[in-house]
Amino acid sequence: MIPQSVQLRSSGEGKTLSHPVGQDRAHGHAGNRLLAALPSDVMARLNDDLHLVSLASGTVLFEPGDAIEQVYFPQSGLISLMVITRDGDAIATGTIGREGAVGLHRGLGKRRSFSRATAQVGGHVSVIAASKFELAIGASAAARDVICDYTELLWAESQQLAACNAVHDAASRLCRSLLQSADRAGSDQLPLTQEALANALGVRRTSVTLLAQGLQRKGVIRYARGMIHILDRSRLEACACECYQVMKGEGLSDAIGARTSRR
Amino acid sequence: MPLYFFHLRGDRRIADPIGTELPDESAAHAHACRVARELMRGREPSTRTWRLDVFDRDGDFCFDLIFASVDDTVAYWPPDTRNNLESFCRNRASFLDAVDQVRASMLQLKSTLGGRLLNVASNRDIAQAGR
Repeated sequence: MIPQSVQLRSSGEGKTLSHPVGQDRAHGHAGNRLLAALPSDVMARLNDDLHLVSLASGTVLFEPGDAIEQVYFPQSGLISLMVITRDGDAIATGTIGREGAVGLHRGLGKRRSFSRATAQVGGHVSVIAASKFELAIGASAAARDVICDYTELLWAESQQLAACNAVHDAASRLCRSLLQSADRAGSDQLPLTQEALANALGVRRTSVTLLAQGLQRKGVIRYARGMIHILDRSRLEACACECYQVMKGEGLSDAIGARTSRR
Repeated sequence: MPLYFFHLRGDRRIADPIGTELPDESAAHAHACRVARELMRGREPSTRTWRLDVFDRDGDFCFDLIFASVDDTVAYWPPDTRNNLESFCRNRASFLDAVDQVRASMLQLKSTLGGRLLNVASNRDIAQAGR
């Protein structure tokens, strides 16, 4: 039940994309940090059922209310989670890259997606049928712990983002969002349109244009043909709100004492 | 549909190179209000003197919008005080425009003078080389 726009590829045959995949083939699916965190016996069970798939930008993985039939572990690119308003606007409420997974809690039992999950930046994703994933997870308490830890992390992140969206200005949120996207996609060159950034921040595209122009004039980023290049990371960090540092790397898992980071 | 450009007059000028298609000037005004609120939110004190200058496709000026006029954080101020704030912001923005114009004409003057001096210098060089 792979979406139609998704082409299945066996590992190692992944077509070269317009940006580097950055996956070490020797590690197979372990380029995704959540898969790497799973106990090795569980990983051995999952290995045959995981498929490396290439996702084009814009591919929809789940609509709100869809039964979760697949679990996605990004190896590159970015998946956006979006809440759809009654007017049909899609507001990005989270981004997931190779540090995370989409539909992971399906390992604990049947679930439906709350948000729309879309490939914001195309890339490679390891996919597994949810039923097979659930079986493998059911056999391992340690694997269930990984899922619980990740769920706690997302919950902490949602709280931080709610506070950020409530009080921080659009300029510093744009910087925070660019830094997070770069970290998660594993690249300082991001194929993000201004429309996508506007959705992520919940502002008009004109606002993003003006803010991005301002950053470009300061020499912090370069914007050309839908591609953002981060030129000066330290200045971008200085322009970002504190939320970037709070959520960066192991920051959140350290803050809540989650076990995943200690593995 | 008409195309409108929303140039920002903040501490510096930032041009909107893309523009936005909107049905008419009143829609453009509503758009400008929303953009101003978005850019201002969370940092009202340092941005309420900013201004959006709106131009149409042909580069003709349509209207401007002083951020202070849509600053919700001062909505509870008495109308007189708000008007004073708005006119202060408007004056400050025009003052910055004037400074910009002076700076631009200084640059122009410098380049003209520089060109003359260069010409004088090169004439002298030629004269010296001729000797």
